[in-house]
Amino acid sequence: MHAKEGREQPPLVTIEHVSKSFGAVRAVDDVSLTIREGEFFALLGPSGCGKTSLMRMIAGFGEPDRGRILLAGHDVTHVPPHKRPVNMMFQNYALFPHLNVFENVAFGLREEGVAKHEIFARVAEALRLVQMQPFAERKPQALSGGQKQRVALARAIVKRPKLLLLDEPLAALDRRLREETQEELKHLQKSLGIAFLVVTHDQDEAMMMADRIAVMQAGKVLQTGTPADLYERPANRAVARFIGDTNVIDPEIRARLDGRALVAADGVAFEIHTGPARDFSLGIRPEKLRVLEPQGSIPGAVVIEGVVEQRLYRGDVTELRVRTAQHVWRVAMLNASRQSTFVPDVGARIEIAFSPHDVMVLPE
Amino acid sequence: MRMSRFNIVSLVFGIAFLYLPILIVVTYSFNASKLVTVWGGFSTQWYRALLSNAPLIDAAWVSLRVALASALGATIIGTMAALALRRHRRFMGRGLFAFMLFAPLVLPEIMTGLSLLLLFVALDWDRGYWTVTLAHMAFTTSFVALVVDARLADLDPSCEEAARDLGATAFSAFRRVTLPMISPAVAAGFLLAFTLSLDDLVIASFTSGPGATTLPMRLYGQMRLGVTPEINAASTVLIVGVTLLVIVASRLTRRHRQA
Amino acid sequence: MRVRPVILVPFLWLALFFLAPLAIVLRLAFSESAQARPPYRPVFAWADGWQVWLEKVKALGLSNFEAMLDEPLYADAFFSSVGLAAAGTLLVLLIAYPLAYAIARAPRDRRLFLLTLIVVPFWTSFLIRIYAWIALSKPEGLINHALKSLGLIDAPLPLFGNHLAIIIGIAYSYLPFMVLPLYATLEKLDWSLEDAARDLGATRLRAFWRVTFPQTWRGIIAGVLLVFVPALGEFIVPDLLGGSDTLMIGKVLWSEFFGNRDWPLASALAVMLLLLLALPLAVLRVLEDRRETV
Repeated sequence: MHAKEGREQPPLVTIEHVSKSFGAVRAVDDVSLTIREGEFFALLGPSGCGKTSLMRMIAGFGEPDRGRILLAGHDVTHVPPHKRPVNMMFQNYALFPHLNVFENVAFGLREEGVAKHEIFARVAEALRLVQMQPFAERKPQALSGGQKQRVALARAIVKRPKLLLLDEPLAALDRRLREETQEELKHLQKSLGIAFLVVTHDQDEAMMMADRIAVMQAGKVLQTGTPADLYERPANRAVARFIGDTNVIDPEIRARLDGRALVAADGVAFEIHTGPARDFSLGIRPEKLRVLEPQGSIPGAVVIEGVVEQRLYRGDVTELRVRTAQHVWRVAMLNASRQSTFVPDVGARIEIAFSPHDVMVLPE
Repeated sequence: MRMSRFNIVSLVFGIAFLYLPILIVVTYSFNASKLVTVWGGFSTQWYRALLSNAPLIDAAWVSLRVALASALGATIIGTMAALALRRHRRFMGRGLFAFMLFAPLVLPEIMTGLSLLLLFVALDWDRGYWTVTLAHMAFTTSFVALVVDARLADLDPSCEEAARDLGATAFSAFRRVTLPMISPAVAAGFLLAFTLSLDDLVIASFTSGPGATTLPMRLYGQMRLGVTPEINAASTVLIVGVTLLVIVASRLTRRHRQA
Repeated sequence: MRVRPVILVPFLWLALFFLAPLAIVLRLAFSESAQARPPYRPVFAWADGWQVWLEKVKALGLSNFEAMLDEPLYADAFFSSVGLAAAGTLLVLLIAYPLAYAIARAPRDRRLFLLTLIVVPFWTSFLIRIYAWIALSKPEGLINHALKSLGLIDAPLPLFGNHLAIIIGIAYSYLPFMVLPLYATLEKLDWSLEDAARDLGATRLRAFWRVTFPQTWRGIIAGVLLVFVPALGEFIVPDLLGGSDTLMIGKVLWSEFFGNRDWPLASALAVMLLLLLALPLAVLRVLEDRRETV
């Protein structure tokens, strides 16, 4: 829903064909992106994919070798960082150790030359937003990881930037705190109305928080879209692999006609929509596979026979590895009830089934 | 990370400031002209002159002997002192011990020289080769102790405990485990003591006597009279010698660290 | 308790060659000068016993210290020593800080090499380095020669035989002492802090001044003391580079000792020098203690 609202907003940041190399390594390779006003945008990718380099260029640290960056319609490609209406929350927070919490948050306002009483009011307001007023006099060394994160956030938003950059904002927090903070960040972003750009390697984090996500690999953007787009309609094999678990299989193509194809997996044929793609593989999410009960059947489903090789109990789901004629399939069975209906044992011969509508076509 | 222009300028300026004067001394030691500002062509005549400068050669020998003997002594006592300080956390007078060990590091050399001379006078010892050697031993011991102490601080005490656990006596554990581990630092300490002794003018001037004029004392006497190509040549020999020594030493310690 | 040789040997050594000499200097500082060999008459005799000593302390010969106060030469020497050492230290700081900063910001694999470059001159003879400056800075030396032949100056610049020469000489000889502690502090800093400051609206220079510089106080103080303390008692630099009118304690002490053979006065000067050094050394001590507790 937010995504739909976001799409109607005018563009805030436009990145046009930006490239950047470090020595022989092309860190960012001809990237074009648009971030809209008020949007929560995530750059997702493994470490070294160029997402941090791209973000640093938006902040003004390092200029692109080629291409340009527009911010609210102005070309800021060569504007130094201190003159950009963009603030950043650094990965390890980069709190100034010689200044207390209040002075850390006031730093940017003092640089701007804001009047004393206004500094006081705005810092107090920012600290209130992140619930850190009681710690104003503390030095950063005396704060916990979560508290440091809040101070870093307050320091970045107190300047009322048009865009807030967050470099792996939750990487240093433990799991429980991370989940809480995800919700808080999302809430804060909506209430402030500032566009957020988060860089992360954690797909769950990106899916939870972002309105839109750009998946990056080896300096290139593979796909940009809402979390649901990326999960249900990945543009290619790499995105499907990176977001969620996927069974990726190379099908036997028996016939093609008008964007449709007759394919076969493990010898069982079915028909799918392929669009214009010539070379493709197929992806099926583990939770879209069903295990048929003995003598059970699902109308219209593709049914394949196999043997259970491994059974992993995960709490919410039980995951099976099923060996068929040509593949090993991962099947996720939801443990919806404590009297779970039917979970086959290791070694059992079973049938798995899926609907052709749930098959994702993944171009190379 | 690219370096900013300012940083590069600072580096070039700083390093030029340090090296240019030395390079000029080395260059002009090969000057055929006796004038120090005019380049008169390449020549090694001043090095030949050095070889026939008997007082200078004598002084060099005195310096080498003093440096070798004092560095050996300082290494032994300095290493013992560092061990005593690190291994024994409590003994009578440990505070005084630490003070006496490290205070000389910040004592002006002129004070060290004066006080040691007064000691030798009080003891009624004739000043000469031995008093210089003892004086150098006295002031370099602290430097050796500092270097060895730093290494001991990094050392994992469980290594020696493991040796004891495997049946070694205290002495044997020290000889077979601790000593090899601190030996690069001991070598570095020796080298530091050696070069400090070779370099010292002030303390030697106080504590030396007839017949034991060290090289810096002799050079100092000539430098006061002005800049000459011969001193340039002598300086070059000293610079090259010490630099080679430092390179060899750093190679040695690096190999040790890799092993 | 067992007496361990590893403690006893260095202990006795240090007592004999550090403590005893200092005590003798102290004793001599209160003695009278004499035309004898050795040229002094002790006030305290070792055989007197403490009661006699107590008597003598009451009637202590402060003549050497009085002489120091009466004769403005000595007071001048102290003041100009402090002034010259301070000026030299400031110059070292100004050269060393950008240098240490540049090394700390150099690529990781180059830092050790650059640091070695800075330290190597420390190993070559102090005397020779000072001598190298004489060759450069004399009126007929290379700097003036070069500037004159380039037509930049008519008369030689006064680089030698004055206060300026001593200040530059101190800067030149003690540069590594300042670079090392500064580098040690700078190297530990988190450079993303400077980025953060720039992101918050500070220019490069402001980011350095408000964020990096305040975090390096400890390194600055350590470096300043490491240079100031030995520079204060310096003899070679003022003797070889300074003029006949430049006074520093080290030089005055030397000439009282070797020239006038006034050993007690020289000792009294040494005691004063020690007292002068006590303050900065106490500061250093406090600093070290604090570093250990943090």
